[in-house]
Amino acid sequence: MKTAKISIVGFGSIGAGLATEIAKKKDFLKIKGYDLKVVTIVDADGAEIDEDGLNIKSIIEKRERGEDFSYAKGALDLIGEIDQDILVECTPSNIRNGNPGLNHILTSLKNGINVVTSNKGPLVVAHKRIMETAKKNNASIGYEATVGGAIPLINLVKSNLRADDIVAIKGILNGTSNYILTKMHAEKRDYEEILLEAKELGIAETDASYDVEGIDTASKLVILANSLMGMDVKYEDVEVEGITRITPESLDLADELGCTIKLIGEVEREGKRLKVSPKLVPYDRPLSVGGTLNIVLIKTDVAGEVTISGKGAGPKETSSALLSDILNIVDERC
Amino acid sequence: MKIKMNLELKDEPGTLARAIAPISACGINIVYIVHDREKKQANGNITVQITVEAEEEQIKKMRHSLEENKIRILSIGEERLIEELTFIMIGHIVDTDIKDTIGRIDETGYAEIVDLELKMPQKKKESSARVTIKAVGKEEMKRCMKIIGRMAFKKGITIVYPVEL
Repeated sequence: MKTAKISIVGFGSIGAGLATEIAKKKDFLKIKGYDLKVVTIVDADGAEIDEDGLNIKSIIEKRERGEDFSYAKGALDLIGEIDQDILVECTPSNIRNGNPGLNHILTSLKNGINVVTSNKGPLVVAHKRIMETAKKNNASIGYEATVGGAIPLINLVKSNLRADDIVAIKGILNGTSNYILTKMHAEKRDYEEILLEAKELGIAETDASYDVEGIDTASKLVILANSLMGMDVKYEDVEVEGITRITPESLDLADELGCTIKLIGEVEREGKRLKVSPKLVPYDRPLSVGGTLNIVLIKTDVAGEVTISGKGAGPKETSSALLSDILNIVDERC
Repeated sequence: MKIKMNLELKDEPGTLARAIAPISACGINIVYIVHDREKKQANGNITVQITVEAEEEQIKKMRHSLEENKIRILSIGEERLIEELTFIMIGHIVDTDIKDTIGRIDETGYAEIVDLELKMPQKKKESSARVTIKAVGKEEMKRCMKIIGRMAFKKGITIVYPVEL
């Protein structure tokens, strides 16, 4: 049995979703030979600690009752204090300076603690620095959950396609904008109406600007370009246009052509071209997937085109990617 | 009809002007000229591509006149609009003068707007248009898209292009 002590930093929907899945899959993971113990859970207002493994269910119930965490400690206090193998960083993304996530990640790596994250901000801001810090301190970093939710994109390229040169990646990388465009098209309704509905359903955040203005997709492109295509690009290198101006009439005009409109992120190594923009996509092409689905087309020198699709967001789906990275690290290091 | 021809010229000052003069003398409208001095033939001469708008009789006269002036016609034929691109424009298209946009494409001589469909919602909201452009070649289409891109930026119009697959 391989045992790993895990800390979860950030106990919002993603962090709590991961903790729940670890608890739910305890027996299944044991059959597979893994014993994952969540030893700390840290959020902005405190921490729960138990080096023998926390009772996740009771912590979630406690949070639902509105009770505070038991210890007034932050993530950085616990890094040197608690014995842990993997720190899972799930705090909200900040693409301006990457913090607080970047600070958590770098401090963990410097202390030889492996990191798994769903937080895009640190990877967008400091990909090179994070990788160098991990290497220097002989620690691993997994970030499959930063792009495409449940789609095993980064690990697919790094393992199965590792002999291929990735020349271009394009696809739908944001479920919220895809949901809005799909609904607008099907129901011939205005953008504002559907956005409001998506917020009420919890598909869009209260501030949906990251999703609908293409910022989220652009951040993911930067991560893919730097980590899978050997590029060295910044967020500012991406030309970004979102979906806020798409009208029901434009979708009608596209429909008459046998097309729909999708928010497409594209990165091509030749010419260092990174772009996010609404594009006409024919119905009979894979990139026309609807609802909250994500899809990615990877163009390589040997395999040609590889297309992969799946649910791009949601706590449960993101947990699949986080758990995959956790188990990879456990296999390598524990 | 639109005719595209390739002429062989010596790489010397004034040869292009000497080739154009007999064409103009026939009352023929020159639509555009592609003059690339970098692409030389084995004999050191250069090829100049000239597209003209002319009637059959004028073409005959022009060929004769070019031969008299010792200008070799490498190829000549009717030009066809073979490249096609359809895209969608979103914005205050009518208020920002759609005629001006069409005019600028048509006056290039190498591309035309062949189809345009406009859908207008209630007043004050932005309208949408589907535009199909045809051009004589890939390079000309690219040039056309640059013109459209500049105009769209100036007029605050969003363009939705087809995804390249």
